[in-house]
Amino acid sequence: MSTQKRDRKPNFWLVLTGLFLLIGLIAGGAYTLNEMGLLGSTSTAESNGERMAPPDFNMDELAEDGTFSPPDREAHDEGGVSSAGLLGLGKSIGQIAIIVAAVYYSQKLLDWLGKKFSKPTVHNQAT
Amino acid sequence: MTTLKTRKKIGETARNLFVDLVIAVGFLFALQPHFTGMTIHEWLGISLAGAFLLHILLHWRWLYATTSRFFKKLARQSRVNFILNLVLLIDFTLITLTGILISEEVLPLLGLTGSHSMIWKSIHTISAELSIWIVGLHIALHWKWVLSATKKYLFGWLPRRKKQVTAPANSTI
Repeated sequence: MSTQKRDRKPNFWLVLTGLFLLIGLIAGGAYTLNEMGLLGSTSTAESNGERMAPPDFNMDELAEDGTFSPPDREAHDEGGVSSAGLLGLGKSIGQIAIIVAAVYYSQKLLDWLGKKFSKPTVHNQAT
Repeated sequence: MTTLKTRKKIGETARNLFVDLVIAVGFLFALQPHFTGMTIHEWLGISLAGAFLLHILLHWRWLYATTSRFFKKLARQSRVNFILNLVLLIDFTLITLTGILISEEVLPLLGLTGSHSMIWKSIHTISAELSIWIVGLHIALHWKWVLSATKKYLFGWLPRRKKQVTAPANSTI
């Protein structure tokens, strides 16, 4: 029993260290790639220090008294039960259910096909 | 000794099922910032990162055995599982990293300011969309275990339908 424990302990720390190294490598790699400008299109005028054209202005954005008020925070900042939220939740559950069903039944189908078209055994040939 | 081992196995399965259920529910809600609001979304995301780590470490024996045997003789199912789990790890790391970088609620609490880079936002959204498919595949590959563990530990209290056993005519006692 004690030998088993001695054997397992270093392995766990090895797994933990390897896992953290891998996570660090992925995160660090992504960050470095972005810093090097290899992620997405960062070579725009903005990244070169040039001033970008301002967004189009619409007179409708002004209040009746002619003042400009900043836009409200996006609706999802506050959260709450809404039809959009429920729909999104249902969509995710549906997506996962479809994948599970597709994989599960295709595995079953493959098993069935494998059995049907498998090479006849010696016993079957004799009969 | 056998009873102890069986009890330990039952405890491990129940614990894994509980952790996985919590992760699944948390994951579904974290995907809906419209539903939770940004503050809960960010804290839930950080908690989920910890929960994913816990999930991986609960299966460290499998991870160790599969990694050490990956380039040797290994069952096809285990190989597929390993590759899928690796993709999932990369995806979740990207979601967590980009989520922290674009954070508007958690980082300011630590006195830091998040990035407003559109690239991080796009990577966060794309990897989150991708994660639904990968998680779906992950669940699908473990569906038999999910079904049996759920039946046993969540619906085990339900009365079971008894199988009708007919005694053979010439049975001897």
